[in-house]
Amino acid sequence: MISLERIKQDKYEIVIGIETHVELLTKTKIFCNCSTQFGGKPNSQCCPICTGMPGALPMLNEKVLEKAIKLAIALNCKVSNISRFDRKNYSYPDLPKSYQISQLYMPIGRNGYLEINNINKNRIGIHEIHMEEDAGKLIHEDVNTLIDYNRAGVPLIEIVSEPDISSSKEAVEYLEQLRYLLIDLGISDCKMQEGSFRADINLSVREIESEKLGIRTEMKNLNSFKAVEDAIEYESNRQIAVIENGGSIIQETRRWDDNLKKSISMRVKEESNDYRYFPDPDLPPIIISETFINNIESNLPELRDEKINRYCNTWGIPLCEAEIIVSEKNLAKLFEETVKITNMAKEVSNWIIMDTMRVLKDKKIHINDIKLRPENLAKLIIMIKDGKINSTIAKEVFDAIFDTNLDPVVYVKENDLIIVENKEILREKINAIIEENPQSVEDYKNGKKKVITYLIGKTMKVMAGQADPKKTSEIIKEILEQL
Amino acid sequence: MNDILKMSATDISRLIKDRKIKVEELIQIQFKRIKQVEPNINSFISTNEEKAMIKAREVQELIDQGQLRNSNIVGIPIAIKDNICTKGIITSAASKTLSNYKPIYDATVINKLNDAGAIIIGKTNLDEFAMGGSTTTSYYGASRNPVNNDYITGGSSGGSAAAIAADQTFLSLATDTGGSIRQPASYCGVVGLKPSYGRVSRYGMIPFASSLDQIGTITKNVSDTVALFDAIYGNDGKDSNMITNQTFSMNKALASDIKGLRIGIPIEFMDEGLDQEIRDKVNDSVEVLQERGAIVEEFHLDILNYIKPVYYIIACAESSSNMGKFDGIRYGKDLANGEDLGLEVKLRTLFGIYVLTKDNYYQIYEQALKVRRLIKNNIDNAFTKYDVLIGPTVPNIVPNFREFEKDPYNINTSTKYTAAANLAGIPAISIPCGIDRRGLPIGLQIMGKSFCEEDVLRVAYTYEQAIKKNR
Amino acid sequence: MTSEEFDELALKSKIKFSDEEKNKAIFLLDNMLYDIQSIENLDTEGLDIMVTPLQLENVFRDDNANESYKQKEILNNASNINGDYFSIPKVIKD
Ligand SMILES: [Mg+2]
Ligand SMILES: [Zn+2]
Repeated sequence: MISLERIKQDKYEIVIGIETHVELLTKTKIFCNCSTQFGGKPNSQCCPICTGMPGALPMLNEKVLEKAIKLAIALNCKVSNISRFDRKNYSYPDLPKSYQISQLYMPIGRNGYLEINNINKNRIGIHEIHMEEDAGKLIHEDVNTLIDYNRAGVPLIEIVSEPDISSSKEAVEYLEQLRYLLIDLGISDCKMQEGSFRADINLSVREIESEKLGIRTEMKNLNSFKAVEDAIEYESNRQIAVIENGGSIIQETRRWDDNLKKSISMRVKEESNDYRYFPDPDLPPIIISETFINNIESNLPELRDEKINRYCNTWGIPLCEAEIIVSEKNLAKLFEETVKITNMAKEVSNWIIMDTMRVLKDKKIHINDIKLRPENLAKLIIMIKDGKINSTIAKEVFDAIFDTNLDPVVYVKENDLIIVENKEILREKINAIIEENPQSVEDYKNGKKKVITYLIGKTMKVMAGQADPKKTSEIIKEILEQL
Repeated sequence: MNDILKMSATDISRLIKDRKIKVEELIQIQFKRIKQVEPNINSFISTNEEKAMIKAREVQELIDQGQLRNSNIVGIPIAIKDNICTKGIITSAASKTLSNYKPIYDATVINKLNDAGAIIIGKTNLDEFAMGGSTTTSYYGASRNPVNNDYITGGSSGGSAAAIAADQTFLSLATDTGGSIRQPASYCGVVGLKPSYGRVSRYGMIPFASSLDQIGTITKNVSDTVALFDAIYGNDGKDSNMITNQTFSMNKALASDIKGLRIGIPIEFMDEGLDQEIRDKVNDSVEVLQERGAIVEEFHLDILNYIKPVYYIIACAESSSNMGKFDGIRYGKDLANGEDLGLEVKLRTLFGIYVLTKDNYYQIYEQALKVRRLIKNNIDNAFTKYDVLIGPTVPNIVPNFREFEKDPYNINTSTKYTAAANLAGIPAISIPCGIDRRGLPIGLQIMGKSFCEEDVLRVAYTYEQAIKKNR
Repeated sequence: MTSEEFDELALKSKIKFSDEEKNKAIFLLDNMLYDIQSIENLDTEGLDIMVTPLQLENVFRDDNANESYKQKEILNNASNINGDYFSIPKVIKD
C-alpha cells in the first residue's frame, strides 16, 4: 500500500494563500478617539462612533494611514495615489454598524512581495494590503451570546498574499518574516495569543501539472505558528484523502481546533455571499503624493535583513549569530549600543549569544525585561581586555550584575575580584612555588615548555584565581630562564 | 397673546435681549399654543415643557448677566425633527424600532443651539426614517396641514413645517435628503432652507443617505432662516465631509438688492409635468424679481431628466446600508424580520440592496455615481452663466389625504425638482409665492452655487420684502 | 421582476413582506427598475465617480485618546444586558 505521504509528494501540489490581520499600535481606534488598550473592562472603551449609534460619524486616525503606507512601502507594494474606504455590508452581532469600513476597490497598496529565506523560493507575492476596522468580541455561553465592543473599531491592516505558498514550512517562514517586519516598523506588537496577529489560511490542492486550481477552504483560529504548521499538514492531507477517495472538496470556512489537532467545518460559503461593497460616503478619499511616499520611505527604520547584513559585513559577526541577535529588538539594542562603546563586536556578540541567553533561561527572565545596560556590559568587556579580571571571574560578575544592573567595576572592587597585577607580589609567590617544584625547572631545561602552563595553574590556585595570567606567565618564564 | 407668536424670531430675540420679554413667559405662551392646536395637526412626536422651562430660566439668568448678546436666537423656542439626536430625549425617527431610543449624546447642531441660548421645546414628526414625502408613514400618525387639516403636510419634515405654520414654534430644524425640507415647507407655506452639503455638521443626524443628507432650517420668514442658519453652520471636526474655515455674512444675505443678478430658469422645471397654476405663480414671482433689477433667462438643463433615477439608486443604496444596524442589540427593537418597518422603508431598502449586488454594481451603481458627476458638472456649468436658478419647489398642488391615499407615489414626481440640489450639494430654499385654487400654499425654489447661501437668501429676502410691500 | 426573483431578493435582504405588500412592492420596484434604465446608456466615458458633492480629500484626526463614554451609558439603550456585556440569544459560533 502506498502511503498518503507518498501520494502527497508525488502526485499533489499544495496551493496556499494567507490573509493576515494585524492590529495596529495606535493610541486610539481607527475612526474615533477611544483607547485601543488590550484587556480593559468590557464595553468601557466605547463611544457612539465605535458602537455604531445612529448619527455618529467616522473620522480617520492619521497614524493608521501612516502605518499602512509604511507597510505598503516595506512590502514593495505600489502605493495607491488615490485610496478610498468602502463599506462591506453584512449582519453579525459583533459588527456594530452592520457594515465594516474596509477597502475593496482602491486599497492602500497592491502588487508587492515579501522576501523569505527558503531554499526553494525567496519571495511571496503580496496581492494587496488594506486598512479596516476590527469587530467586537463575542462570548458564547449556554443560552446567550455576550458582546464586548472594546475591540470594535481597533485599526487593522489586512495583508493578502498571492497563492504562492506551497508548504507549511513556507507558510511559517512567510509569517515569521512578516512578523519581524511589522515589529521592526512599529506597526503592530503581533501577539498571536492576544489576537493582534491573525492568519487565515486559504488552501487547496491540485494534481501536479494541473492547470486549474482546486477548490479551496479557509481556515481560521490559528493562534501560533505551530498551529499554522499543524493545520496546513492536516488540511492538505484531509483534502488529498477526500479526492483520493473519489470525493470533492467544498468551498467552506473551517476552524482549527488546536486541542483536537483537526480542522472543523464552520459554514459553507454560500454562493450568494454578497457584501455589497460600495464607497463609504462618510469618508473622503485619501490622496497620496509622491513626496509623501518618499518622505515615509526615507524615514523607514532599518529592517531585519539590512541589519543582519550590517552585522555580518561591517562587524564580522557570523550569520547565525546575527540572526539570533536581530530576532529580538532588545538584544539588538543591547548589542549595538555595547559595540558602540567597546568597538568589540565579536566579544559583545559572544556575551549575548552565550551568556545573555543562558542567564535569561536560568533566571526565567523575559527578553523584554532585561535590566542590564550597555554601559555596564561594555565595562565588563573592557575589564577583561585590560586583564583586570579573567573570564571565569567575568562570568561570575556578569551573572551578578545581569538582573541588578550594578556597575561591574564597583562590584569587582567590593568583592575583591580584581586580578593581582603587582609584579613583586606575583614574583614572591611564584618563587616559592618553583622552589617547591624543583622537577619543573629540570623539565623546562629539557625543553618541556608545557611546564609553564602547569606553573600558571599552580599560581592561580595559590592566588585564588586572582592572578593576571599574562603577567604570571611572563614572570614564570623570566625566573626559569635565569635559573 | 398670539400676537407675540406672529412675530419674527429675530424681533422677539431683540426684545428678550433688551429684557422687555422674559424667556419663561414666552415659553409658557408657546406651550399654550402647542396644546391648543396639536390635536388637529400632530406636528410633534414629543414635547418637554418641564425641560424647556428649566432651560428658559438658565438662559434668562445669562441674559440678566449681560451674556449671549451676540446670539440672534436667544430665548427663542425651537422644534427639532425627531431624527436629530438629543441626549436623554427619545429620538425615534418616527419608527417603532426606535420608539424607546434615548441617545447618549447631542448632535452638533443641538450643542450649537444650546450655546446660542435657543430653547428646545420638542421633537417633530416625520416620515419613518425620513423616507417619504408626506409625513403619513410615521409610527406616531400623520401630521396634518395647518392651512387646511384635510391636506397633507408633505414630508419628510412635515412636523417641522407644520409646527412653524401653526405658530407652535418660531424656529425648527429639519433634514433634507431629496427635498424633505423644501417640499413640506412649500406645502405648508413656510420658508425651508437646505444648505450646501458640508455646511452644517451631520454629526447626530440619523442618516438616511449619507452623501445627500443635510440638516437645515424651517422658519416663518427669510430673516429668521438667516439667524438660525448663522447659529448652526460651521465645521465641528466630527463630520469628515465639511469644509474648514467657513464664513457666512448675515448682512450679505439680508441685503434687499438684486440689481444685475443673473437668474436662470431651467425649462425642464417648467415643462408639461408642471401644474398650470404653479407655473403662473412662478412666472409672477419672476416678474417681481425682474422689477427689482434681476436679469432672467430660460435655458435648457437636460440633465435634470436623470435626477430621479440617479437619486433613487444612490439614496436607496446608501440607506440600505445605513438601516442594517437597527438590529435591536444596542438600542431599540430587532428589525431583522422587518415586521416593525413600514412598506416605504422596506421597499427602498430592497431596491438599495438590489442595485448594490455584485451583478449590478458596475452597471447600475457605479454608472449612477458617474452620472452624478455629469449632473454636478452640468449644474456647475449653468452657474457660470447664472447666479441662481429658479423654479417651482414642487410640480403639483398639495394633495388632500383622500387624493394622497389613492396615489401615494405621485408625490415622487417632485424628486426631479428638489433632489438636484442634493445630488449636486448646492444650497436651495423654498419660499411661499402664492396660494392655489383650493387655498393651499405654493412654493418657489431658489438654488445657488455651492457655499453661496448668501445669494440664495438674498434673492429670497428681496422677494419676500417686495411681496410685503405689494400687499 | 418575477415573484421568484422578488422572493430571492427579499430573502437576501432579510426583510419580510406580507402577500399584500409583496404585490405592491413588485409593482413599485418594476417602476423603479424601468426608471433607472434611462441612465444605462448615458455616455460616462472618462468620468470619475462622484461619491459626495465635495471635492474633499485627506480629512484626518490626531491619534489622541479622549475619555470614553461610561460603560453604563454604552449599555444604556440595550434590550438586554448581562453584567458588563450586551446579551443576545445565542448565535451559532462563526
Ligand atoms: Mg478583512
Ligand atoms: Zn469609540
